[in-house]
Amino acid sequence: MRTYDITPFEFDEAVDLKKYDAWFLDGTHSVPPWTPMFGWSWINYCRHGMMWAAQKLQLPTCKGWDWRLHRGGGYLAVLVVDDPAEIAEREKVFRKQLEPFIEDYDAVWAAHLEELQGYYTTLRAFDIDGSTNIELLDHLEDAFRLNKRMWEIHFYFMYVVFGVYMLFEAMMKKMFDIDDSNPEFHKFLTGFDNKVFQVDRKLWEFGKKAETMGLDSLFLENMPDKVGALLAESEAGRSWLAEFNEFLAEDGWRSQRMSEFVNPTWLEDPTPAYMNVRQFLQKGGDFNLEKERARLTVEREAAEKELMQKIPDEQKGWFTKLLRLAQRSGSFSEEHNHWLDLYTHALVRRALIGWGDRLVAADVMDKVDDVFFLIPDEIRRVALTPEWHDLRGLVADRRAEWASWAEEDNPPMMGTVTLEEAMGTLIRSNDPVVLKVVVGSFPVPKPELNADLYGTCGSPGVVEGRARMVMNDADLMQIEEGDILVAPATYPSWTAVFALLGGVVVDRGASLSHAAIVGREYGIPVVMNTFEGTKVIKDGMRIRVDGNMGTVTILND
Amino acid sequence: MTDKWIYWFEELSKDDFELVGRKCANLGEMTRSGLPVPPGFALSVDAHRRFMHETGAAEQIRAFVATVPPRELARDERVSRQIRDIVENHEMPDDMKAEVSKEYAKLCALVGLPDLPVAVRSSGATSMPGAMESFLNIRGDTQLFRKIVEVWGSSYTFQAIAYRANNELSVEDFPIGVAVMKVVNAKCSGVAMSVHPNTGDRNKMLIEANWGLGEGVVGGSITPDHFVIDRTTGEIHSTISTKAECVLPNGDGTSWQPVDAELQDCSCVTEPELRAIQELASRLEAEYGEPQDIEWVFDRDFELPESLRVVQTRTAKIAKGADEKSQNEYLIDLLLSSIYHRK
Repeated sequence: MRTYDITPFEFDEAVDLKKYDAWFLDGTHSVPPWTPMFGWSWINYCRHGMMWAAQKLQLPTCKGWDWRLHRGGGYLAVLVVDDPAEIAEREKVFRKQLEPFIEDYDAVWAAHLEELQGYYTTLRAFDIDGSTNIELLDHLEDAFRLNKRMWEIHFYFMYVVFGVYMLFEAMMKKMFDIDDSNPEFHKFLTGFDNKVFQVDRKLWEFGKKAETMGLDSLFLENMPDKVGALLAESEAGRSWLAEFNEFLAEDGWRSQRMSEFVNPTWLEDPTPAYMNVRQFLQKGGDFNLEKERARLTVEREAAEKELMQKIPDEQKGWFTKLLRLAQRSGSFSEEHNHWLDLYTHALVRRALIGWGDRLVAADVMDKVDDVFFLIPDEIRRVALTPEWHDLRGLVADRRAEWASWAEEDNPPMMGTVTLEEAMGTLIRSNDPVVLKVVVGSFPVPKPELNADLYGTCGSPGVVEGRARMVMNDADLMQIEEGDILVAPATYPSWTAVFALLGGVVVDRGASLSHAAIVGREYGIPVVMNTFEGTKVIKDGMRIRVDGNMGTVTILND
Repeated sequence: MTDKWIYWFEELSKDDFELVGRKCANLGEMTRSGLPVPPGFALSVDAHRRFMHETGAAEQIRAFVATVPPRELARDERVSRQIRDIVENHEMPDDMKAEVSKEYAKLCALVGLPDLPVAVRSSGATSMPGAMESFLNIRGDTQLFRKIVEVWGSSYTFQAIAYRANNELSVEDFPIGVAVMKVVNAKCSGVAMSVHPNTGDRNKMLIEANWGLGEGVVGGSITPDHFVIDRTTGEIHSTISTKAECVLPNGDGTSWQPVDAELQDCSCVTEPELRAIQELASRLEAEYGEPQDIEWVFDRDFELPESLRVVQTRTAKIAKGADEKSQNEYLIDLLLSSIYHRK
């Protein structure tokens, strides 16, 4: 029997290895294993979005990725276009498709964001508790339709901006012999504001407000999950909360793990937001991101000026356009998480929880979050006549299986060829998203550096500090100022904690992954793609992180 | 003036531009560097001057110009036609004819063809692209004498006069050199720029080509085949157009003629030929120390590499402040060639 039995996209060795000789685990998004509902949604809509965008843009050498599920892990194979005549035909359309992005990227982005925000407003306004089952079912379909559209827009932009980023890398290398492992390179791309940092700033302001209102000790002396109840006990606390809830109503559409439905959003449970406020209070002083941002902006402008002097007059035109677009790719890479993935997933979750409540009330299952162990067809099957159904057995089996997946890591690749050969296929796709986010470059060990781990540069700089292993949200609580975060990957909801960090080490990632972009904005060293950092480094060790060389050295246990 | 006023290309170098004009000096330089220039000789600037004085044309022009208000000179096209008529109404003096005839006979003997078709090209000491005449496929003494005089007369075209007026050069006294060279039995011809003219990218080489003679590329209504070569990776990006017409020899000159249907949509240059052009352009760029704008032609009578001939090279002009659209297109070209083309 197949493990999941929920979609036609489950990995089937006999069939799938005939079609593609290698499938790669998406370690950035599907570790730890996805719940069945999220896996179903990803495999349907993320897969669709990539293929849609690759077709809409007529990406010359890639038609998107095919995806399979295996033990809760997402496995991808890149759909490479090899026929030169087909590539030439695709290029003709691709050229036209690129024009609006080059002419006015901001306008194109604004129009798509506006479209999505329209759906967000409509879905948010839906009265879940007051709806009939028919209406709630329609609402769920609407939420999934949004999910589908979100992924289309997601890759429509990502394919363009990441391709441009790669071109910027290539031209900087060719013209100035500077590549993206060089600290100088990132000077041109940092020091921009975006929505994620605006949210962090608001959290810092709420910390300041708590201080002025005499509520800082409440945050510092109690665990974040108790803070809500304690605030409600005092006049000042209630006043602070009222404002904070207004902020959450707008910006709380996010859960701690971006690529899942199973975690509560900040709106449901603001504990992670309280934790961020607490960390800003612990740190004290100014919002260091602001100062860092100002410094980076000045540095960027100076670097740009110097660079432009080296470029012949007749080349300044296209080069400036390239630089501006490359700068947008950094902003997009970070900001899209807030506006696209996190927001949409939060709204789908809201609809699903609505069904969870209703199915528990109808005695179809026992717990609200059992709903994440179903797939939409199973909700549709029972939705209008719940009294005829009992899903407990199904949910229990799926939960047991899900728990078992977490016990053993999914292999990074399943295939009939060596990792090297499989990488060859990936590179042949010229797919910017594969190369810049999901797979990244593979680290080259440099024994002469005598380090314990060899990775790639995410953000330059050297730092020593205490390693803090972060495998889940709760671990974030342990972080103190100057610590080095060690994790499989970092998530957009963790951004605020970067304000406290001395450095970051992640198992996987590339130069446009979350940890790299945020690390650069906060000006702290980040080493990525160490593969086994979370296994070799133990919590509490003192380590040295060298972002310039891409190495980690264990100083003492 | 010295008695010598005809120079074979191998006797000249790029420093001789005041002696024979820029085109001839360049042809000489290339010949001396061992580049595949069609054989030929140059008439010096002094030859033109001598013709003008001995025939009295110089005096007639001076008298005529004195009657025209200076403003009109560079404004009225009829004035330039009248000056050209003055020149063309004179025959080349007999002693000059004899000398030209002698050297032309040598050229015919060198190639091994009686009445060898030659090109007669203008060669000003100042570069004025397109302002003066050149003739192709000229055969025999009589035609040759005639066309040399017409080239001299073309130093008074409206554009040439306007150029000189705008650049504070002498309007009426501005002698030029003339190149007489073998006409290649052209399979295809074109231009090559060792720098991208819209953007100044020196890593990109641009080649445009059509069947037949070079006039079918630089002028005319057809869209030539277009190639961009990445000089680092060697990658070629080709845009092949429908080339319905090309310029071919016709009687005592050339004309636009239809291209065979089955050749219209074919690339008129093969990949090995493109590589030969690329190599030639790089060599010329190194030779002259700056990006070059080259006119080349493939001769049917030879095999590669001997078939490639260069007929002109000059400093490439790069568009200042290339327009918005070409910048966007260039950026897209770069994206395709750097990211999406297979290495």
